[in-house]
Amino acid sequence: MQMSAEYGRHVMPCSLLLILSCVLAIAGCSDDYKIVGVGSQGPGILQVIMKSDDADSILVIAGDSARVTEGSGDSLALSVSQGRAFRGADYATLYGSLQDYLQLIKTYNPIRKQSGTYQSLLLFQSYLPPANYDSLTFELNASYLQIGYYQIPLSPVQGAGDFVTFIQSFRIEEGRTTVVTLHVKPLSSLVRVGDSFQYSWIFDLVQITYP
Amino acid sequence: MIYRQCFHRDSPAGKGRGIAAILFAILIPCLTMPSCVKLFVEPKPELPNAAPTTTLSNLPATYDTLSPLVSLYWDGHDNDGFVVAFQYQYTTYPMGKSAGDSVVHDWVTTDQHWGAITFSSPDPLNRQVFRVRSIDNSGNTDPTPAERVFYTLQTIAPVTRILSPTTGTEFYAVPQTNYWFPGVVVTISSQVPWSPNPALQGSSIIQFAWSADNGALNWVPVEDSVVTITPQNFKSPLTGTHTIHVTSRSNTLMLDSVGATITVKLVQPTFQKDIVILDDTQTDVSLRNVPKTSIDSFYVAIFGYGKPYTIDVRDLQTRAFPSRTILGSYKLAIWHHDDGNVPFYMGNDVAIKTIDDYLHVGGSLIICGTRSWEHWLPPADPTYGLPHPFMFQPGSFIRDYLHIDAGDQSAFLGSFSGATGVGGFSSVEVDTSKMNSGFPQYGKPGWVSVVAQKGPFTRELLTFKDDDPHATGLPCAIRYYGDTYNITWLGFPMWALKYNDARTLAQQIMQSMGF
Repeated sequence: MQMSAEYGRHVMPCSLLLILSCVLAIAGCSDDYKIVGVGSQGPGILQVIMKSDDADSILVIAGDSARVTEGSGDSLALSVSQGRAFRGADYATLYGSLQDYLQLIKTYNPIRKQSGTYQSLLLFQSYLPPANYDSLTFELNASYLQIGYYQIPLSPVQGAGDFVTFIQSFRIEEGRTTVVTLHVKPLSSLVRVGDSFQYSWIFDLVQITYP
Repeated sequence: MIYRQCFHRDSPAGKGRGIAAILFAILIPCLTMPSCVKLFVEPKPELPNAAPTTTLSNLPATYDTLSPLVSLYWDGHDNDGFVVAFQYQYTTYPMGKSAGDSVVHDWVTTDQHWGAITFSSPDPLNRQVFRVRSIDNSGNTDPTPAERVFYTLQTIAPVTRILSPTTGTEFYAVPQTNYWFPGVVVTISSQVPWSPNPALQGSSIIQFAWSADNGALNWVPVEDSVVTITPQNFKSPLTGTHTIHVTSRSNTLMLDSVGATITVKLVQPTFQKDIVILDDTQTDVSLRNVPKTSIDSFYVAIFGYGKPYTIDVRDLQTRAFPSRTILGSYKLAIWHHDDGNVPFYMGNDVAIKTIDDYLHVGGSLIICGTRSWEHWLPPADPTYGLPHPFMFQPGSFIRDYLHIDAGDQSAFLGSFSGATGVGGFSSVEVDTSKMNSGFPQYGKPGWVSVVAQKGPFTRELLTFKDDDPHATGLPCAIRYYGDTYNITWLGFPMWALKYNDARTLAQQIMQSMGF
């Protein structure tokens, strides 16, 4: 009996301590991305939208010209990938949508018209840590252009890379959305070289809103 | 107190100072006397300016055996001036079986302290006696030059060739280059002849050089074995015969002293005249044996309608394909082939190369006729042996110049009754009275060529409207909008069309091509 009492005096507090630890651990594991009590902020959302200039709709081809027509098969096959928002040397990866967990190559048509205007393209929509960012970069390349009667291969200007970079400050706030709108001139960006067009993208405006 | 002690006659210090004064009085005249005497003695003559001396660095070592390209370092010293230049010279003693005469090479002057010298090495082994001497600021040369004796192995100069073009080749050329005409492209090859002597093996080419019309040599790295000589490199006038010379240099700095030289003939197009019609038609029963002159007159009439064009007709059967000089005098060439016979005069390599060149410098071309693909497919690949559609490979005239990636062809039985216009071009109908009414034409052209896949910067003008398993709905006429040249291609003979339709189509094509 003396042994049991002794045993009880030592074992019972240890058992209670163990149980308490487990409870705390389980409680801690209940939310795998929030560390309660540390004071860390929740993420904000960054949307990167590309909008083609509506005035840029005519392509002059030697003695002929072609106009982007609504409802036609006019297409500029644009591939977008590898988005990053930079803060100094650090960067956050940009995904195509809030559900994406991989960086995918997505294809867009920046010369698709609806109701007389080019459609806006949502290139990236991604959770980002709240901070002040100073630049945005992503890969932007095109393979061919179909406009009017013409199908024309596209390639980057010789010596130029496929990445575009925007040196533009913007901030991400917890629980809020930041929208970066890039205005591009899709047809004016093309220069004819022999039997193909080479592109060097012309962005004439970068707009940042905090709706 | 101190003052007194210094001048006390009987003190020890006073005695010492007295002795010093006496000695001083004796010593001064003794010392100054020679100088005074010297003032009255004749001076010695000035020493002559001494020659400089020269030294060679310790490498290469004496009696070493080396390849002919040897770097030597030297220095000079002058006691009564300074070294302003060096001169070096060497004597070669061939040591082969023939043991030829020694060769004394001239002095070479340099202000450098080193030289990379390719030593003359006519025999497998050669004794070289190298000497270098300094020159000082007074013009004196070192009478005892520094000398080094060593041996060099024989090397062989490279042999340079021009792989293309061959001598006598004719080119179109314009003063301003463009994407299609970058200049005269020359492919150079060079190698050091192989020798069974191991000492002679292992040389490699490091540089090519080219010159045009005996101009300065332009050295390029060996990687640039294809060089483009722009029109500015040739002497004026551009039209005429020009020379292209190439040479090369090996890693032992052996230079091909002969090189290779070709002559090329450049023709600058004048485009003074308007249109030449290239008649490639063989009249026969399929065309109801209508005279060729009637067909030619038809083309002159539809393309020259209402315009003061100068239009010449050239029968390819009797006069062959025009030279570059003749073709280059026309702004537009219209080639027609209205019957279904082969071969075609325009299909040969000379004609195609001439047409390629003509287009590169800004010529315009209209092609119409049946069996188009067979003009430019290799003889082993007749269209009936190819799958439908036929894919044309890069490098072929059809793909690179007509800008047609894939083509097809209607049946040989006449089924083409007309074509539907596209994008502002009028539809056309066949005049059945012009074609054989019996088998196989039944009043309509057969073997009409169509486009299954068009290339860049092309648009369709007309589509095949009749029922055919390989042609229905496909373009049978397209237009290429080039940055340098323009082409309109029609896969059927315009002769077969109704006159008014043909004339309207011809005018629309001419307007589209800027005429």
